[in-house]
Amino acid sequence: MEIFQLLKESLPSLLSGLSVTIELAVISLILAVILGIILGIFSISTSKILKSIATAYIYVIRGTPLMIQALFLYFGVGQALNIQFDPVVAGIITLTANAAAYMAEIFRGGIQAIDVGQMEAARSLGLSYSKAMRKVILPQAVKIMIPSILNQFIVTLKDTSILTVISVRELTESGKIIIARNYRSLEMYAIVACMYFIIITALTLVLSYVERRSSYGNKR
Amino acid sequence: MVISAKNLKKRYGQLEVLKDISLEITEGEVLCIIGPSGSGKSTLLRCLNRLEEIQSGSITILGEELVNNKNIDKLRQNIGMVFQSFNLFPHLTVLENMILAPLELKKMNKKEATEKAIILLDKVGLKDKRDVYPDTLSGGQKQRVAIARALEMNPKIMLFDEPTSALDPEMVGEVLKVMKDLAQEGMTMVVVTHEMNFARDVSDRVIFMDQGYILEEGPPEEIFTAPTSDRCKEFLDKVINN
Repeated sequence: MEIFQLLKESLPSLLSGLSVTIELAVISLILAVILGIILGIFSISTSKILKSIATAYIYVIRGTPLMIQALFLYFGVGQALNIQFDPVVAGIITLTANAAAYMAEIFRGGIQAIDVGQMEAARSLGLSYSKAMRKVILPQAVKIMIPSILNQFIVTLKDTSILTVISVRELTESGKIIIARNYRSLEMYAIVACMYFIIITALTLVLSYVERRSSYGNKR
Repeated sequence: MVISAKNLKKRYGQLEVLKDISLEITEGEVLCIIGPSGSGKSTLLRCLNRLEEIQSGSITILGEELVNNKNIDKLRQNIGMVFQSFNLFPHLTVLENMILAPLELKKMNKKEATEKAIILLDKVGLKDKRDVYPDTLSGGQKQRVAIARALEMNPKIMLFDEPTSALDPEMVGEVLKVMKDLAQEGMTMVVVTHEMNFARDVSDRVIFMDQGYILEEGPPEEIFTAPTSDRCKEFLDKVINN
């Protein structure tokens, strides 16, 4: 069984690639949630300037491919500023910037999905805007947002593979390096694909469990 | 005067919805505002707790200026509001809906707030519903909870914005009864309504609005038996003889 031999030989290197993939996804997603909340608040604010900043940002990010964003930052900005980025750092910045735009849209959509009557009722009881937001609007909005946020987690995890274009040693890149040595494209890409599949399926199962737990049906 | 509004004007873009409205309400008075859809009656009511901004005019509530009041949240605690669409908080139980604001605003501790909530729920006939979520309630029950939630804050004024318009016909009575009891206890109430019987039987004074103006104002027996304007006559003919 040649494939097992191949797997045995390449596994250490693939596993270290996988750990970089997971590291990229986890760090980027944490940062993207924070940046996404800030941008989301900008986009529902009454200030025209903040709103325009958020809108412009979201348009630019959504209107350009992730691969170009990575190349632009790593090579373009790197050259212009005359600095050599660490590929992992450039990767994290790119993924964060990218996912944050989608997160911002998820947050804005979730908050705006709540009927305005909820805010009016809360304010009419004497609650301030921020209290009404925290106690009445957000608890409802977050429940609407959860499936989309979890979906974005999976998208970002898969998007890490694009960072191979800036030579980040994540899972795909590790596979490519091995193939350059042994020319076994079919088997190696099949192994790499399987590894993504296992991780993403496991994540999907965990996330759908979290999603079920957080819906308010279970309280009744 | 508990509420005093002078020369209110309100526009949505080009559309003038309130054209020079003045209004005074004394303590304990029950005022019903009637009129056709689009006459500006709901807008007028919403201006009274600043859910709508006005373009010109002045409003004084409980001796305090409303329009530019920096302490609007404090003032709003004295003004209960009941909406057509109930606006209960669906992620909270009936009891949690009621005690949220008093606890957040530190008006009461949890024990006091809960005790008061139970008394109020008993009063609106929903004592056994304290731990259920709003979407298990009927429309009439939701609106009674909404009234109890507003009363929990001990308001001095209650505003009702078409409180029975979204209800099935057989549930209108239970909500009106709660409102009638409240009126008899001496609450100052401003009620925008299409329930002419309620306006006739319960209110001290009725205002008829049309196209952003107050066309008639007076005790219900006068408005309902001898309206002076043709527009009001026509409106009452339509709604009562239906």
